[in-house]
Amino acid sequence: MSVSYVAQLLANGVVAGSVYALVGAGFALIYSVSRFFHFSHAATFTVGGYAAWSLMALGTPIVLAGTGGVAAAAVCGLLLERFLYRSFRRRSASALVLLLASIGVYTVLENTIAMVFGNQALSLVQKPAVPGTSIIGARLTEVQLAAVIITLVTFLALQTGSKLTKTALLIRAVASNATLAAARGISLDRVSLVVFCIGSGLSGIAGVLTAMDVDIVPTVGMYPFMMGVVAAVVGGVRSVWGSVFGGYMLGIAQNLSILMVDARWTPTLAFLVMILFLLLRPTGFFGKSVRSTTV
Amino acid sequence: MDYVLHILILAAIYGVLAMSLELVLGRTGLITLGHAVVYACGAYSSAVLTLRFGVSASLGLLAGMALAGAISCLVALVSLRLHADNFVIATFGLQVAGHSILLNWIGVTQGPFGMPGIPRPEILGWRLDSSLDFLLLSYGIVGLAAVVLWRVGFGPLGRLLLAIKEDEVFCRSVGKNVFQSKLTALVVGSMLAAVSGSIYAHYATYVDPTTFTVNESILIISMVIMGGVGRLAGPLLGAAVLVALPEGLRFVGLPEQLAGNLRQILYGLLLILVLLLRPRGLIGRYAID
Repeated sequence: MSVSYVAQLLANGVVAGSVYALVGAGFALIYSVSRFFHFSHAATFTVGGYAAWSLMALGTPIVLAGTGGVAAAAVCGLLLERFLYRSFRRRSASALVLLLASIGVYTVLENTIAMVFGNQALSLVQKPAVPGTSIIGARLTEVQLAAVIITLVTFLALQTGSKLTKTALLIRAVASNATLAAARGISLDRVSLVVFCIGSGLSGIAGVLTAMDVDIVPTVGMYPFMMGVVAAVVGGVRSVWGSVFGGYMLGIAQNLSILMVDARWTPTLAFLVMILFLLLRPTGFFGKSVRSTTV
Repeated sequence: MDYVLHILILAAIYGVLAMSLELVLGRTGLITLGHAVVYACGAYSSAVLTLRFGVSASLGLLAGMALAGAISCLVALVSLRLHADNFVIATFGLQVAGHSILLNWIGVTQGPFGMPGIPRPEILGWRLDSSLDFLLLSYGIVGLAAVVLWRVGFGPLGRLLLAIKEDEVFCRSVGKNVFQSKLTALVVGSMLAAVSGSIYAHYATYVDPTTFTVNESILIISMVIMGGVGRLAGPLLGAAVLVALPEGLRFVGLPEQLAGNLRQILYGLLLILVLLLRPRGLIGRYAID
């Protein structure tokens, strides 16, 4: 086992972790405000990837196509919140009903994409395989390197935004106490729109980056979504930064586990990690401790 | 004629599945995204035990029930204590991990190739060869499952579960064991799902991982919501409707793969529409909330 092999696994872990961190952060952001398990988060991921693919197929340059993909995912989340979840909230539907509706949306979106684009794998970037850039013996392709950097820039922007803007303050207010926030005149509807837009956008970035790196199929969003959820559990479901941390940890841990176990067992291992966290530290690394169910 | 029998048998198999999920979803208000995995426990236990070890069908069925019960017990133990969403998260994890195990544990499950040639069962000297035999068996199982669910879901435990759904803290304050009640519902529901899986394996004589994806879990949920909760007939009707309805799509003449996608879209749309327009489903006693 050489140093460069371990370095390669670490690098792969950071690449995978970037995707998990983006999906997990989006999931946690949406969950912190809307308080339901947004299952179609997996579908917005796919929407982002396929939108980018379509734009590139039409001859759009790669940067523009990627941006378009992210925008499509964000708009998709926005529309879902405005036209579906909002009408459910108006009927004071519970988190359970919203989850069920979200499951329905996921099924419809995924299969509509399959009917339009087909169930076969599509690859976005058709280029000959190149050796890639070497960093301490680990090789990353241009796309992977770009993915890592884009993710870091995204998180930096998110961090700056959450420090400086008033919107971020409103989001935190609703997340910490929705009733009190409403009493102070903060509109849940508007905050939800913003949150769904940003959260789905994050998922869309992950979708586009995945589509650029590997082939995409209509079910492509399910696995990163699951990993994003695990990342959120590890980091504390309501904590966006906890989920980012959880995502990177999960990606790196998964790839390092290849040293000991066959790679095909990684989803099962991730599940076991999640079970352990739910058992021993249900609020995650950074989550504040919560007292049972709120009445 | 065989075609009609086939649809009827499928409706029965899914009917048992939907009834078993109603016990969890309708009584406790918990939603499991991993019902396809406990269903798979039954199907694969039967397949592996009868094919590899030549064990009798009834023993395979019992093993499947035990496995499903144990797995759901584990999931409940780690996720039922704190918040309802932890249960959703844990069962979703179970679904993804379970499907991945079916796909990758090639030594036992033959992975993506599936397991063909599962023998038709023999019960007390009665060999089930024809579809008609299976029709009798599957509706016998529906009857048995209904009796079990009537005892569990509509007796004292069922009433307690409904009370817990209304006010968990109150139930605790009068000395009821909330965790144990939910656990019982979940374990019984999972074991019944395994029975259904076992019947499916012997009927189809072939199992492969594509049957047990998250989409299957979603389908079972849609059946329960469609039919409605609070009545045993609700999930049965929901299952019958969702099995029969897409058969109409056969006559549109789409290629098989696209027809599958269209079927899923139909399930998803129906799920959303029922929740929006008729939250208690077709014949449910109360709305999901």
